[in-house]
Amino acid sequence: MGRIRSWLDERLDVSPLVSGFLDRKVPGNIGWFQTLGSATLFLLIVQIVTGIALSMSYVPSPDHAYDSILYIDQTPFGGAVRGIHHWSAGLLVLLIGLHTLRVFVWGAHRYPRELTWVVGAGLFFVVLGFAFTGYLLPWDQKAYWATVVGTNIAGSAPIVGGAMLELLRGGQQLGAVTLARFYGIHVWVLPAILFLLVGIHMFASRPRHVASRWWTPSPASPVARHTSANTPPRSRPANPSGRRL
Amino acid sequence: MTDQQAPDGSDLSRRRFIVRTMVVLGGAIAALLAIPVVGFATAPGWQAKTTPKLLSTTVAPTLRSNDWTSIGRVVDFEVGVPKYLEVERNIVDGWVTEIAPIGIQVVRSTDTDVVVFDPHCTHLGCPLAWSTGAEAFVCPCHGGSFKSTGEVVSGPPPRPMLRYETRTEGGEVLIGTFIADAV
Repeated sequence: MGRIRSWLDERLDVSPLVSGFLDRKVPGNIGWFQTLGSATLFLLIVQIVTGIALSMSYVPSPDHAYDSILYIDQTPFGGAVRGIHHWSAGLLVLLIGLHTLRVFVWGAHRYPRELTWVVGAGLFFVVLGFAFTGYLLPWDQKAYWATVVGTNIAGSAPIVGGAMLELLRGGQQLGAVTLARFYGIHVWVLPAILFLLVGIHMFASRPRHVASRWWTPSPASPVARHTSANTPPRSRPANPSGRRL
Repeated sequence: MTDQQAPDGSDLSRRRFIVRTMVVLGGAIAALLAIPVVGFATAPGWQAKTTPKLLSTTVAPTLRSNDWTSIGRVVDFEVGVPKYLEVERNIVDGWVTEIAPIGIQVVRSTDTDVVVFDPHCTHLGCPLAWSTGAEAFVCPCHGGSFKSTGEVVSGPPPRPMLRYETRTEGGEVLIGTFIADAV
């Protein structure tokens, strides 16, 4: 192991990258709640791997989509791969919600982590976009009618509703164009945005950028003191005399 | 490294000139690529014919046909009793042109008149079915219901059921496109 590592380091110098992320200093009082982000990342990787496998036997066309799903389920491990993709998708939405909730309750969205929060909020909507577009792909009754209702909800928005509806459906009706669009968005557009945002999000969680517990602000950590939810921002002490101190 | 002054004394050094040129050229190339790519991907949005008022017809996911399609003779239908039918229509779905079964609800209102409805709720487009117990078209999604005349009885639907334009030729009923006069 050591020889492989030094061989690689001489050529690629990877050790600092790995240890810079895995061995970074974090506050001492963090625990299981801080693993929700990693769990979300794990499920994203599961979705990418199983999704790539599924795309090799799936056809996004009203004539073939449902039958290709039936075919996948008859193929060795096909049902398992589709099952993992299906159930992990639901779990992913749940976990990213819990992760977001944890960060908000800890007050960890405040200085100096505002950008991590903004990018994370973008990732939240990307995951919801995956869920919405992926739901249609099996082209079964539930998928079809959920998308009829979902696109009509977008269509009921004031002023831009009509444009939103047709942008999503690819026309006035739900059909072949809609399925192809949703597939394209699901496997190309959203993954591209996902990779960009996950990269920024993880870059932003380098040393001193993990928030400690909000209920025990550690005096040793200036970052934790700034961001604790139980210490509201203060200005300087009252100065009734009005004199400059 | 500091920027050196250009030989003629101006502030534009060789380095800054190259950086600016790269930014401008790169931006121009990116914009030239983005115009067709984004334009193509979003075309259905900015070409949209659906105004919020017209959502009354696009709320139904039913694929459209421009032909007149026979749905049977007037005497085939019982007065006042809605009948669900699937008629083979020539539809266009993106690049697909095919004969496909289209569901309709037919109500013979009088001896001579037949009204043909699209069986989708005007709220969010869920499928409507005639309930003999409730004497109404009932939506499974949010409980909207309609009379056999298409008027809203209860629930969230904002407007009456969508109707097809009809024509009678020698006792035979034909349907065309939607009547888009729903308020």
